[in-house]
Amino acid sequence: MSDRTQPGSQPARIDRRDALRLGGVTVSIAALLAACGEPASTDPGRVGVAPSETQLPSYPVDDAVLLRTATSVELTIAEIYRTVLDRNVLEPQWEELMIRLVELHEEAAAVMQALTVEAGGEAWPCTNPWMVDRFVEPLVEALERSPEMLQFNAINTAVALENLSTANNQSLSVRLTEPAQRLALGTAAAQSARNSATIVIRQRGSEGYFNPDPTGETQYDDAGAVANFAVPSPFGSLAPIELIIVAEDVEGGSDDFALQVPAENSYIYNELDTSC
Amino acid sequence: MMGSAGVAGVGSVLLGRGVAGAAPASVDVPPSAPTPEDTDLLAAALGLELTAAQLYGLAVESIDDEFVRDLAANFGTYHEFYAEEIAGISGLSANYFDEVVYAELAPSFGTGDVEEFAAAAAQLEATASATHTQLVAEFASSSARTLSASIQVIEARMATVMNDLAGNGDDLDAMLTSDAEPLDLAAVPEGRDV
Repeated sequence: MSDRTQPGSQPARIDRRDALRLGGVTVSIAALLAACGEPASTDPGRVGVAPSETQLPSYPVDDAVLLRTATSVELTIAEIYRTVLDRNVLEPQWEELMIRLVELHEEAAAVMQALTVEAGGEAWPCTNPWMVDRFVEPLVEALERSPEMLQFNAINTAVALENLSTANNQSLSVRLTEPAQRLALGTAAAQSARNSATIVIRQRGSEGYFNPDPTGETQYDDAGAVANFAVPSPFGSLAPIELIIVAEDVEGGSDDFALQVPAENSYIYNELDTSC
Repeated sequence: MMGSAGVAGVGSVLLGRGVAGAAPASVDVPPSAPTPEDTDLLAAALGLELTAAQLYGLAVESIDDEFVRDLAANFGTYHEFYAEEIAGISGLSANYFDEVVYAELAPSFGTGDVEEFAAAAAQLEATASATHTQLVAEFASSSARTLSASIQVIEARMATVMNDLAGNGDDLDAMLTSDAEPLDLAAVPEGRDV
């Protein structure tokens, strides 16, 4: 076989004049694209099928918005409890407690609704749409996948929800303008804190009184769920709250949720319709 | 002292609206650092927290049960943390003391009887929680509000724990509700050395 190079395959040679001409063309095309094309996106690159990000609304945030948001969280929690109660699987002591919790969250919501009207807003009568989409529906699906574990998972869910309500009202209470508003949300935060502690004590007894880790680091139980404590940390935390729904089939895997207090993408703005 | 809405079908409410643009406007922004009025209230709150820590110290010395002693020691330490944080944001030295509260509760904290101690501790924690809740309403500054808000929820939890230890665990009303009144820290009575 010959090792001679065929004339047609010889690499093109580019002299300095060609390089200058090509460089000019390149710059011209770049300028044309810059002038006529869409501006480059500043969004981070996305890989896979992750849900699209929620755009930040441009609506103003006033006292009424914060109160409507707090209301929506309370009603969402009450609705989750109702969903669990509808399954009729809870032992009487847990059913009694969960019915009481529904009442307490609805009472808190009623106070917040009245304050919303006093603040010049329209009372919010619904659950939180963002939470329902992103958290409640997947949570209910996860709970229903393991009916034999429903009471166990529902109790852990209740602790997480009470911790969420505590953190949310704690967070919002300091931002409100009027003392009466701050007092109401602070009172609601303390109520949810008592709710959480009561559930944990009924669940774990004195073993669950306080987190032995002084930093409040999350602990896990033998089933792989979060080990709850009546007093989980020395100060009220606003960090995401971990909730693990344990599957009854060990090969089915567990569902891990991170509950977070509402932010700008899940506020109940005054511009939102109050039709649920 | 101690005196429905449906879940289904609401998900589209936000999605149907065009939302984009600049950051939202905000509610009025309070001052960050404590005002002079805040500092007066913080001094009284500091006294309450240090007094609570001392009361738990009494319990640790007088209770035989190791588990309850550890519990009392932990809760006492939490109150020391609160005092340190209050001193930190206010610039006050941590040497305040509430003689009125101490005099009223010291006999029960030092009795050595677990149930009596726990009942008194539940009363103390519920009152402290109610007081910090009231302070969140009264404080002008965000730093003081934020600190009191993070303290009051834990004191509410500690009250619940102590209620259970006092033998009220099966009484849902006792566990879930509180009728504790806040201390009026703005009106410092004689004997409250703040």
